[in-house]
Amino acid sequence: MKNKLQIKNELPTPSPAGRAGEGSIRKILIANRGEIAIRVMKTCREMGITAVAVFSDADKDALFVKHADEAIAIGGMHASDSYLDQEKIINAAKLSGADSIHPGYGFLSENASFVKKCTEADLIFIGPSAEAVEAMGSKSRSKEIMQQAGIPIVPGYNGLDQSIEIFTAESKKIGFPVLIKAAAGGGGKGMRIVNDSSELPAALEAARREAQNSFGVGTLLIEKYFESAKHIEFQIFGDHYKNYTHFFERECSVQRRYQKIIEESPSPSLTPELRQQMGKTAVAVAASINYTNAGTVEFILDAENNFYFLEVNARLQVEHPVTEETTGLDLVRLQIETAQGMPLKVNFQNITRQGHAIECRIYAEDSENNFFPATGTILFWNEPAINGIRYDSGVCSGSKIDIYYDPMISKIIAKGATRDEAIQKMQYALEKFVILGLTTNKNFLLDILKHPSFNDGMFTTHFINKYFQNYKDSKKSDAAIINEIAVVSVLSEWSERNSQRNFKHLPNGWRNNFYQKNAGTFDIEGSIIKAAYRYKNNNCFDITIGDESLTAELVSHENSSITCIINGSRKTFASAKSKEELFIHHPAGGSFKVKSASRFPETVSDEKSGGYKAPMPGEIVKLLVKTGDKVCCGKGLLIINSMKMETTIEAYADGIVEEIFITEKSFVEANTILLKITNEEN
Amino acid sequence: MPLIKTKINRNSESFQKNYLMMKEKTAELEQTMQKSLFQGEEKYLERNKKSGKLTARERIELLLDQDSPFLELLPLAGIGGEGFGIGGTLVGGIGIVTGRLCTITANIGTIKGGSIDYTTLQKNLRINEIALENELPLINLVESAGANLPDQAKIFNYGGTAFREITRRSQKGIPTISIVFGNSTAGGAYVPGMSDYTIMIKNQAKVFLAGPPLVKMATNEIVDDEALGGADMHSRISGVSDYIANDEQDGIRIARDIMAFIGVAAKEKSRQNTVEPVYDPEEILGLVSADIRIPFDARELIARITDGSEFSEFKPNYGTTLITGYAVINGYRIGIIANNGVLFSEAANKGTQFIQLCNQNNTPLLFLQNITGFMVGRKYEEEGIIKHGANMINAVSNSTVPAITIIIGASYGAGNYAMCGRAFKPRFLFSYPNSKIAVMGPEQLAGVMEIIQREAAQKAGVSYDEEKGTFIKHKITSEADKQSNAYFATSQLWDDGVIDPRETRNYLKLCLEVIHNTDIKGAEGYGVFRM
Repeated sequence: MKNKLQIKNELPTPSPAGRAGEGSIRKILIANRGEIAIRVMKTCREMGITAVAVFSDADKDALFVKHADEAIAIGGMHASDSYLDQEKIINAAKLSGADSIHPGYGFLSENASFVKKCTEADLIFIGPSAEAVEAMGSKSRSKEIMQQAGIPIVPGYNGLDQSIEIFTAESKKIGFPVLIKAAAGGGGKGMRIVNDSSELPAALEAARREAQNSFGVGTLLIEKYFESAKHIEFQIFGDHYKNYTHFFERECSVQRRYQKIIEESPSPSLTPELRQQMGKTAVAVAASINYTNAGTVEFILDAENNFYFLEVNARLQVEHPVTEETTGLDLVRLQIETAQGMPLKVNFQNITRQGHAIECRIYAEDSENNFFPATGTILFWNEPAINGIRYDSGVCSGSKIDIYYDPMISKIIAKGATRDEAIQKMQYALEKFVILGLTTNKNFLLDILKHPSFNDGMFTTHFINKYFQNYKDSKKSDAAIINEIAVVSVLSEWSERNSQRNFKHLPNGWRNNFYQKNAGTFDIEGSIIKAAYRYKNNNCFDITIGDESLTAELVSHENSSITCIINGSRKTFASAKSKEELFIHHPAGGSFKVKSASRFPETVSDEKSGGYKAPMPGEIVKLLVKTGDKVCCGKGLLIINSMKMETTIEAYADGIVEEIFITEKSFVEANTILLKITNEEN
Repeated sequence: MPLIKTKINRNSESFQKNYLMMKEKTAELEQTMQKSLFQGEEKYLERNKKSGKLTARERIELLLDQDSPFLELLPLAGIGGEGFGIGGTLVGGIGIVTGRLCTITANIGTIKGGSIDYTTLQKNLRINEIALENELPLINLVESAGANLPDQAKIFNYGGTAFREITRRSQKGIPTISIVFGNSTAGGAYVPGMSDYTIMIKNQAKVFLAGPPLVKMATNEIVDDEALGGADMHSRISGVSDYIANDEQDGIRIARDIMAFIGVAAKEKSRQNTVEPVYDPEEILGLVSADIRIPFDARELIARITDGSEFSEFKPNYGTTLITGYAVINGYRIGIIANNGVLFSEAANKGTQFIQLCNQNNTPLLFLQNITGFMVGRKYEEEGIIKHGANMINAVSNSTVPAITIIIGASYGAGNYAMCGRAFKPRFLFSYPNSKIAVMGPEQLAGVMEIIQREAAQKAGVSYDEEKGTFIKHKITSEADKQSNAYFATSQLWDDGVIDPRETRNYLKLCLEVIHNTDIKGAEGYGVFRM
């Protein structure tokens, strides 16, 4: 057993976990999924290490599974039944003969008991020690530790005395505005922003009630509230020989729903002095907990350039690529090497940071609807190959995104000599990046990148709330773009029909006495567009949309792309079809969902509007309903006996029996109206 | 197959001049075709639209497969006549429905309630004939008040043919589908009544032998039209209707569903790869003489309609006023017979031989008519030009391979017969807008008349009234001229349409596809006589 964590004293230096003496790692089980699993595999491959994936039932066809050298099925759908099930993971590692486990991020990456279990199972855990994980696992404990190590922490009060007097006094000490939080809380429940002491009593009462209701405990704490703050974090690294370093900062202030979506390095807001100061602090944080392996120290930076310790993320971060791109390091390799007991040879002083890197996270979510996660199948996924653009993706064409896991499906990282260059490149790459069939935040990211406050670097964590409330993607209603999408829809449908048509040798759409253009009606992201066209020859068309006349020439239509010349301008549109929808990627407007209206819209038969008639002459044997009864489709209404056959008349739609025109035992002629059922909505 | 080397010089004065003249003629044709699109006065169309109804032409467009070609037949029938206007009250043609070639007719309910004048009847009969000959399903889009009563004398007797044809086709396994969009009264009631499949549109179709007023007169029964012959009644009670449709779109959808099921997939015809002609079809306007008195080389036209502009000429050095030979159009082999001057005995013999050859090798024929007639004169009569002409007419008459005839210039005298004129039942016959058709040219006609008058005067011993003679000659010339022009011809249904010469190849593509819908079998019973 390891030593117990001692807060006051120097933490013991953990020895390289597992079989330290034997040294090298040969086979890693990756206890994760998606892009990070693939990211780890990449380094494994470079180092000649066999990568073993584990996968849930939901992930059996996932890209990372195909990417792995070996993959172990662990069953389950939900994370709790699969990637969070420690026993299953350890068993999988044993089964595969792996000597180590890389946890990625999320799932079991910061779970101290899992780290211990790995060690017990003689597996190297590629990450920090159980002690460090445990110490940093609790926000309040980590704050205590840092406070004692002399690290600036966010001013606040977290005491047992819950009286208004003490809260008032502490708030004044901290300085308004303050934030009231439920001590047991999370998710914004019980949170209140208080601007001066007069508001405090009412806010405390409300917050306490809410905390009590939500968590069963009414205990509150207060913290300084930052109206404009930035989220700056430092990549830290430690080895088993008390070497601690940072690899510079990342700025992650662009967040929605408390989650980062764009990260970059370096931060546009740090002066060299501030960077040095914060870096030093980050290293001190690492040292204070004998941190080994990769981690991140998160800070809040206020408008006055004061910074405060927030927490340590004891894992490899999602946004690690921006550090890698600017430092040239392979952080996963460093993780593996450190875990093997190799000393850390690089530090912030002997590496040079170059250029600027930005990462955008692609989420399967609806930016126009509260960023709710979106599910579905990616019909077409195409990452444009561009020098200086890196993709860390966990999906490809055909991948299914379901409800079980995180909707973050890919990261795109742009590197440029300057921030402006990186931004421009990122915009270019995002515009060219084709994702069809699945709703993503790609256009939202583009709009952020174009926002002046993003460009001048002055944004804070409130950036999205401030500028993107009720966000609407303007491209989805851009008339010029929509018209082009309509043209492409026309060409796509035409070309598909043309490839299947009978009499291929006959002139397409030819008329010797032309009367009217062929027309298609399309629902393009909610805009209803009628496009009329006439085929001329050689794949050329005259197209009319509203008052606008366009010419179009279909240059080529392949599986996933349509190239055409619209009004003289040649463009290529990626496209993909689902059963009922066509998805088109517009080079300037991103993905569009197109539904084509049938030439023969479904009509409701009058037959089906409530009247029931006798299909043949006969005797009413039994009435199965009475007036006022609610019936559903398929319910037996009455039985007719005719020609020795008993026929049950069934409801063909849901409704209420309005009137019955016959009685039991009566004889009816064919076509006699028997009863009438009204639709409930009528 | 050898390529026809063009001798046309686009920049020559004669080409340019002719081009402009022909351009005028095609422009006139275009304007006339525009007029044929008339489907009734605005207020009727408005009312039609308001009640959720489509026009005849809209119904056809919806019935056709998207991107299907549509060859409208007889669009100008009745032009200049006393009937209901250009094209009558019927739109008809050939297009593709659920991947199958079909003939389609649609009554124009928005003109005179779709009642049938003489032209409309003739047009309908011709389309029925085309359906039968080419074994094409016929889809009727019915909305007609029946015979136009003032025309009844001209219509009544032959009107029955349409009904007879429906069942004759049915007997041969060629289906007829009728969708009733509105009135279909009296005789008209037999169209849905005799079709293989009948669809009626709810609240629109009214099918009865006699409408409520006539019923009241006949039997004093008072009944409304819906109860008497509505879609609902016919679908539930009488069974005249097989399908009831909720609206017009639904009715057309049902017809398409039926076609998809019964329309046997088109037989895959063996054909060569198709290549477009090497030369620009626009040049046809420069080379086909606007003035039929100016001869032109028909090979230049052939070079602009055959695949790759290729043509394998048969007997090129014999009977040179008639061009015969094989070519491929849109992948289909075809034998072409084209006039290149007056017909002499050798030319007629060559034509006879070639027709027999095509029958022997089951090759359809294309006649390009530009013929002022057989050569006249003592020498030629002595040679037996009647006999040789008769041979060719005989060969044409008994040929069983399908033929398509296009009148590209003159169509005079027995030349019309030998070159498979209307009476010789080509599957399709079209005219260029510059073409003339008559027993002889107007000047000749007037000249002959003058000679006869003068001889008569001489016999009677009176002096020939020069002034009156000139007047009569003028009158005859202009009358004959009028009656021999392409629009007059098409008005009388002497052809299936006046066509833009530049579109010749497209017309042929469609017609060839249609004629290949039947098995092509040449006449048996004689070997080839070397003429």
